[in-house]
Amino acid sequence: MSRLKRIIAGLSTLAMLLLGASLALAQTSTTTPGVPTTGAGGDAAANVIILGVSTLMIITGAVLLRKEKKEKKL
Amino acid sequence: MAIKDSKKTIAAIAVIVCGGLIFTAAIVRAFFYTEDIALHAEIISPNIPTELIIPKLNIDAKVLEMGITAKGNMEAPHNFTDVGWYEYGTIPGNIGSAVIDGHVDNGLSLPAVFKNLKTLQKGDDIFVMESSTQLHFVVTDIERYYYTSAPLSLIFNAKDGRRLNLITCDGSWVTADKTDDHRIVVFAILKQ
Repeated sequence: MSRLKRIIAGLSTLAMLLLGASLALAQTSTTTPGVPTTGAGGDAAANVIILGVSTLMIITGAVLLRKEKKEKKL
Repeated sequence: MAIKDSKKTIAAIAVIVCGGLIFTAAIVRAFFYTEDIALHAEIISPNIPTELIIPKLNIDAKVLEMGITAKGNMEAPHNFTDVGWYEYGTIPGNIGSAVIDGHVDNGLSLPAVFKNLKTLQKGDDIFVMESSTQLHFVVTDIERYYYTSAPLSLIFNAKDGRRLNLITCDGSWVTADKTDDHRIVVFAILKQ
């Protein structure tokens, strides 16, 4: 039983040490970050094309659907 | 005949649904900014900045807390109207360099909160609200740096005063890194 206690104590000490070391490393790396990316305008052309194509898809689908309904009525 | 008609109807509905999904994704891409975030702190201080006011540019923006991205850069706000304070750095008003970033434009190239940041001049006023306190900063310098050679220590770690540095993008688009190739940094100091 006491051996088990010693193993548990040893493992918890090891875990504490690892946690402390990782926190220290994280702390060091957080002091000076790189500059942020604060612009998205460079993607504007691609975004406009995607918006245009998807709008065309919606319109085409709607037109086809309407045509189908009309044909069914006839 | 009926089966053929229903197939056509299903195809039309599928085109509409696909178009709708792509349209929604494009809107999200254009109006919301997302990055993989590596680190975020739990700030318990009551004196964290809540609002940034720059009268000359008609800016009155909410301040969000920014961590670090997976690439090791300061995080940027997920929208184009708020600004972000680097939470691992200095709290505005304390000795050191508090850093606040904001976008210059959104995914459709429409102006964002810091669109006109580079028009600030020495002596212009910047106010930061912290709970019930208003801090008054004055612009001391405006610099433009290439994005890979910006003086990070000067921007994030200068300890020679109660500094506030505002940062945004500028220049041309670098497709490989999906970012602009310059940064505008406005250096300000607390007015005593």
